[in-house]
Amino acid sequence: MLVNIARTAWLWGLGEFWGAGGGVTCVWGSGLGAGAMACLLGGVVGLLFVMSDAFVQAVGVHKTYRLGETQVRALRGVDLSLHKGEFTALVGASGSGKSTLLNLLGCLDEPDQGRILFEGRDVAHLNDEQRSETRNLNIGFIFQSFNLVPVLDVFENVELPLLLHKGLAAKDRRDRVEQALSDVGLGEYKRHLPDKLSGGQRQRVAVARALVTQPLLVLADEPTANLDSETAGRLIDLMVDLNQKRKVTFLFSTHDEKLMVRVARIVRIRDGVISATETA
Amino acid sequence: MERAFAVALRNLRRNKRRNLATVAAVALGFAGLIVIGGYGNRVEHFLRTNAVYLQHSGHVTVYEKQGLFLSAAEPLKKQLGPAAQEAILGWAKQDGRVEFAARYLRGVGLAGNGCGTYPTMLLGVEPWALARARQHREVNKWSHEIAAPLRGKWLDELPAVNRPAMVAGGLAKLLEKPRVYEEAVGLPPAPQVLHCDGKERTQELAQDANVQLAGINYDGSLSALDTEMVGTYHPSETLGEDGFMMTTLGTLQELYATDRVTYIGLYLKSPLDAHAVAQDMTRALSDKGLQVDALPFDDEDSKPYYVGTMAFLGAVAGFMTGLVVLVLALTVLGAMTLTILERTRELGTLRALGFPRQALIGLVVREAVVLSALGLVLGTVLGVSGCFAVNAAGIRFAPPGVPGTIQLILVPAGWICAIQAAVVLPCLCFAAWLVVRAQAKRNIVDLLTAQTG
Repeated sequence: MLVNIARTAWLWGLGEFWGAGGGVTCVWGSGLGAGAMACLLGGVVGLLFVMSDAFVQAVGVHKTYRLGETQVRALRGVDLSLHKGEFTALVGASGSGKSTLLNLLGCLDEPDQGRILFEGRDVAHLNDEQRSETRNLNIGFIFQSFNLVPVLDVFENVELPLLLHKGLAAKDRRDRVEQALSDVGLGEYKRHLPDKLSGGQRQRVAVARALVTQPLLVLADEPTANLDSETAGRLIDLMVDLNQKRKVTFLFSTHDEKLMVRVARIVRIRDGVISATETA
Repeated sequence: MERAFAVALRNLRRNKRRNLATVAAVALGFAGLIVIGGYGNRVEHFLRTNAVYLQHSGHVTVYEKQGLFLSAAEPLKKQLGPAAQEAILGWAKQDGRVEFAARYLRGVGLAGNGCGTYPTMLLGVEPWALARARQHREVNKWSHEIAAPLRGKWLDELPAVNRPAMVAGGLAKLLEKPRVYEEAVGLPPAPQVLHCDGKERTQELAQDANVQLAGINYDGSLSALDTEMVGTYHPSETLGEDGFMMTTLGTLQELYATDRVTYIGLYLKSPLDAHAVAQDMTRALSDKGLQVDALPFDDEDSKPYYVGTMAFLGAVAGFMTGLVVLVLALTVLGAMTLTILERTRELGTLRALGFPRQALIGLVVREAVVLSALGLVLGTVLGVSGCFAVNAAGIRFAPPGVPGTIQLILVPAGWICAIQAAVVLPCLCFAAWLVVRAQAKRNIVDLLTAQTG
């Protein structure tokens, strides 16, 4: 009986998600006893993973940077699940590990230990091409300093990630860029170069660029840090609006306490570990 | 990636001064290559035209087997007899690649003026073949300066003259013959017995254009005859300036009392066919039991000067091309290194947006392609203009191995430019690839957090 439950659970949830179940290897034919219990444990966790609707997970993630002779332990065993449609703030002081966690969840970097699971797939198993495709199709990035390409106008900057979509017709691409710019209120600025825009406008271009591929997840690393409080407020309004209307999942890092009242879920990180999770 | 070239072109606007400097460097380097290529092209055509038409060898020179080396020592065995001549000319006539074929007799002898004699290399030509060779469009295009006689006329232009001869300019001076046949007509005849030791010698020798030829004919007896110097010429080889004479084939055969010829020159419609024609002819004649040596114009034994000079020029041009390409590649390497360092964070952004390494490399290499292509186009314009300017300046120089001076003419050829561009462009792109490849391998977070860019 136990074995059958474990098998069902494994087939349902574990599959590629087995790592989410604590990394237990389930070997068929291991018989009853310890092997069956291990399968059961993995299967139950895998099943919970499926049922929880978490599509991005950090599981026991460690990351250490080496700065010359010094080793900086940026993350020390972080577990975090992101659910579809969530609007989550990652809060912590400078150096707490926020950006490192965002980079790992965004498939920009690899953990030293632990796993990053994106829709159940361990990104460590992806090659550069596959990881690039995952980023391009599923993840939008908003950077603190906007990171727009200065020689490209607003339209072209937003269009950039779509240029990699081989099957997308030019007209559809244009329509999607127009829509993304319209969503962020920059339809009239599409032929402006970034250096002709204000900081807030540039960040809205970055938001449009992040959204134009219709990603599952948008990661924003301190998106309001370079903006005054009024502009920052408007940007947060925009992100909240997109989250509510489009059900886009947002995870952004900030240490601006004033922004946190707008957020449904706050994950606090301190010294490389998640210290608290608060839900509004 | 779609529109990658448009993005690349746009990126080049970033640092206009640096990119302009890079384009200018590529342009100047490539212009230099075009000038080198133009010089090489001109020299090759000049030397080939000389070797083929003005040295009367044809594109393929057909000897009796081993005749190249032994025809003078064993003329009865190693020169082409009437049957062989007929077979060779017959084969040439039916082959569509052959424009015309002509017979030539080489020999040695003494040229005399009545007071003294000088050792001479002799060439007997068929006047019609001389006319066709010296008036050939290739000669008119590439070697017309040395195809004209120094004085007088070519022997084919005065068919009425008995035993006409062309004497090399230096030999004519040695013979103290300042007047050619037509200039001497009407002058009082020189005395039967010349005053060779008297003060009248110079005047008496100059009163006619008569040059006596003496030689050992093929049966071993001494033979001599009179010729009329209808013109003087550059024998197109410096060493021949003081000892070359050309007369009709009939005159020389009369001197040596033979109906043999040393070789038959095959003049082809295209020089590219020389090797094939030589092989085909050798095989065809061999089938008929006739053993010949058919030597193409680039055979080292037959035309050592042409082959040696071209090999030397090729080595020099290759070395200079390599040097220029290396400098250009380093220039592009430097420029692209700076460009990429400045854009480190941007490269990180592109990676974050989903550009794989290869796409990123492709994007930057396309910039190098655009940059290099602009340089090559500008360099082509500069190089061709430079060639025109040099040609218009009318600079004259004395090429080694060729008597007299010729104008320095640079003739860039489209196919040479294309080959040069085909060498340069990949090298420059490789330089850019080297730079961006290293950067694209870096961790994306490192790119995004780099201090530069």
